[in-house]
Amino acid sequence: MTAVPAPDVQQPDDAAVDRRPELVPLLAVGALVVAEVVVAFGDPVAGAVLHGLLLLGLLSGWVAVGDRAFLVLALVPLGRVTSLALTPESPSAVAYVLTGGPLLLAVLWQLWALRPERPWRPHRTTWHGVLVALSGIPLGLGVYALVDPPRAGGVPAVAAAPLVFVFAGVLEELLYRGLLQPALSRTPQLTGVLLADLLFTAAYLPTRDVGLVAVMAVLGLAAGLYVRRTGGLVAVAVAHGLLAAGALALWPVWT
Amino acid sequence: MSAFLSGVAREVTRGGDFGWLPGSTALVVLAVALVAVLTRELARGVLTPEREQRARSAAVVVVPLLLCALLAMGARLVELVT
Repeated sequence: MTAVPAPDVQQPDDAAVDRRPELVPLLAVGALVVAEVVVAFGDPVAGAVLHGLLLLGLLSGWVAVGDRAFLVLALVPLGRVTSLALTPESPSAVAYVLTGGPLLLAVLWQLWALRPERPWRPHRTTWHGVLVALSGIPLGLGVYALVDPPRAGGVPAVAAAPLVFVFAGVLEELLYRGLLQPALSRTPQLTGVLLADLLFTAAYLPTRDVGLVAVMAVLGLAAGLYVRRTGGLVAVAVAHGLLAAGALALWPVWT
Repeated sequence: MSAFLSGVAREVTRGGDFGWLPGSTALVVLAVALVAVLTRELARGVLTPEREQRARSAAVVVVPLLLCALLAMGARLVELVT
């Protein structure tokens, strides 16, 4: 029996095939940053429409290509359209629950779905992890002193603090460092840290506060590098939660 | 969530410069949610098994989006009634 020769199939350009999965999520990140710029400095309604279109495009990309980065990236426009549609007039702590509820549901659902491949080690306590977690307290005071963000009022500070801790701090870390960073980590590995920090920084653009945006960009990069190096997502989530609870709920009352 | 809550978001809710389209962002959310659901229903049975499974798993984004649309439209209706 003679071997049947393989059909002469035209092989695609390997370099092009390899580049495509890297390039498309990169373009999606760029488009999301542009949408945030439109929300911040252009027309928020047009920005919401752009975010909505990107959300639909990312979901289609996930179904068609199967790159999980698309599904995770879809959480960014979800968070933005939710905030634009549900944020009440006054900066109350309840707003965090109302606006963050759908996003928290989506983030926890994705984390649960991604459980087998999550890259962090949630049950490992280290001295540097405790140190990083506690750094949120002085950082919160620093951010409050430097930026003076709007107070999360509406309820007493003691009740507002846990809400802000979960919805402002922990939720953002679960999204950016827990989901986006590993999903965007390609070759080189640092790509995920930088792209997640870019999206994290862009999400603060609508505050139109250069100081806050710069501080959060640096803190986001530090958190990303720490999580990449140690897997200590819980530590940075607690740090961010303490920072937010301090700056938005506690320090405005105590000082 | 502090990143997503900002003066811009409150400006839109309050009306401000965008009073010409009250509740427009809620309509955007509703439209996006409806398109996502309609696309899913139209694609049912047409996709390959792998894509069908991925379309099902897109519920992790679509369900919270529908929840957001319901909350936004509910808030607008309550506002109109009261």
